[in-house]
Amino acid sequence: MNRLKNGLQYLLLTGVAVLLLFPLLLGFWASLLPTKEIAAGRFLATNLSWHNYEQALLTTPLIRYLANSLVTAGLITFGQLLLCTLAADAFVFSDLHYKKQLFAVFLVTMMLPFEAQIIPNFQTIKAFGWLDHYAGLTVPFFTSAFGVFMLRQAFLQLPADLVRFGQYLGLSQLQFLWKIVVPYSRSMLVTFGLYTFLTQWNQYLWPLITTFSDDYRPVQVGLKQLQSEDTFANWGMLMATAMIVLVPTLVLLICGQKFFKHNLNAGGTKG
Amino acid sequence: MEADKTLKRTVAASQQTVRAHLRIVRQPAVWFLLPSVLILCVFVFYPMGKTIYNSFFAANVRGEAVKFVGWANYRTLFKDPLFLKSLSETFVFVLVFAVLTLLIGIVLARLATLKLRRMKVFRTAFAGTMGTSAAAAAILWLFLFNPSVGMVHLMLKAIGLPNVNLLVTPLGAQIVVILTSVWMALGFAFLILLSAFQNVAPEYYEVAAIAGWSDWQQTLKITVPMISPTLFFLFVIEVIDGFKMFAQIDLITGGGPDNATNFLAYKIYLDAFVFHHVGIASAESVILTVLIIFVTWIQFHYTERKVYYA
Repeated sequence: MNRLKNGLQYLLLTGVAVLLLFPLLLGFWASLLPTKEIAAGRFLATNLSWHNYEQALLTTPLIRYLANSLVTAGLITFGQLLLCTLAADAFVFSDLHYKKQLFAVFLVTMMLPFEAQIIPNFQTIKAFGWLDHYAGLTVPFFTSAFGVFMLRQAFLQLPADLVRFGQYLGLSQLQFLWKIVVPYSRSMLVTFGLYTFLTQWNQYLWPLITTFSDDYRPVQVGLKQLQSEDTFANWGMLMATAMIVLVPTLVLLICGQKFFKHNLNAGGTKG
Repeated sequence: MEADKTLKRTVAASQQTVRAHLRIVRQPAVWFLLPSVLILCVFVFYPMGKTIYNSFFAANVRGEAVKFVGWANYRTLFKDPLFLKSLSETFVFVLVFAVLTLLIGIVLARLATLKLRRMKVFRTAFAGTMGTSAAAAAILWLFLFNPSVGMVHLMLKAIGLPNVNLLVTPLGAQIVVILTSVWMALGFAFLILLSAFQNVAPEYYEVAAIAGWSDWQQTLKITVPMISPTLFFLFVIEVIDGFKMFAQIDLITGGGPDNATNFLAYKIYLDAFVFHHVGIASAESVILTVLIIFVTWIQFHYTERKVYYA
């Protein structure tokens, strides 16, 4: 009886997992099929190959899109790690006047939707001559209130004795940050870095309105470009492209699993 | 070397958190904050202020505010049936999206906490949609619902149902957009709910089992009330995300058919960057901001008292 129940539960779990991942699995399967089989609705064909991937990488600007995304997301991640760490450090370990008020101001920005700021931001970027350029894609995102908030929480966990020890050694604030705060909060910094890279890799709206050429267009917007161009009917290649776009995020998520799990818990229970 | 050892010992010796009086007092703090403050001023506060300002002006084609019109943009909007429709469709979409994500998330979390071996595999699978970009997800679902080669339509045909193109009917397009959005949001929601489920003390279930409650009774009467803070937190996050939904709409429906999926965030984009009605788009942006601030405020206000904290 118990065995039957277990078996049924496994069956249920497997069914739900397959259903949930079906769009991904189907996309992967289709990416291996020749487009003419897809067009004919023959999904059970057996002549699988990596041809679609080859075609996507060689005949479309996909590699350029991927490189653009890598540069953009990488620069933003570096920028946020640097600036948010500095700001969070100042909020925790300094006696600045009006610190609390300033932190509240930072928090307020978390409530303001980016979607409501795009028109003036577009005009600013245009005035700076940063349209269709990495600068326009990255500089506006070099800091984030969320990052400062998250890192501040982490820095507050530093043991008091460690702080006293830093004072005893007579470290400057920069040395203190680099030699004590950063090593101690490594796990949170890695989590934050991964999270930032993922979010930025997936950005869509801002690059959609600020890039016009393949030279700077990141891969998410590139997907739209490929989908709306003459490749429209080439579903096999489009699916291969989608798979290639998903790979970096999946790799990051699998690598970062233990970090995410640990720090997500903290966020979830805090409410 | 010696310093390193002492360092390690001090870390081990104390886990106390920093107290307010234990700060290193140094002036570089100003320089530490300056870059962040500068960027927030230029790319958050200025544009927010400018958007509010623009919403009271009529703008020319280049988006420059040229004539003060008071509340005229807002009045125009609230008399415009298209905007009112967009607003009400947005509310319905956001609500259905958030509720569905939560409900399915709860079912997944319950399944993932069954007492079986090899649960790690299933947990990874359930969280598998996390991190899927909106653009890639949209392409996958677009393929699923494609009227000529899509799996959904092939299946409909196979069981003898008429081959309707869901994407050209308003309700159908809304359903596809909602499904795609829920699918994308599920991974994150599941992980948060899973950890909440695991944090409920097992004693409660032991007592319930003695009282003869069934599995689902236990979930509904013990787990759900116990994790209500997490549910509430997640609901607010999903609502805010719902209001900002953009990429799926742009790729799957383009706001159509017949403006059925022209939700607020997307309408702002269309009005600003396609139709160049900067005044109107700014007023819509302000309305979106007010809505999101309102939802956030509700969270701050009610989190403390209305929900049970474990």
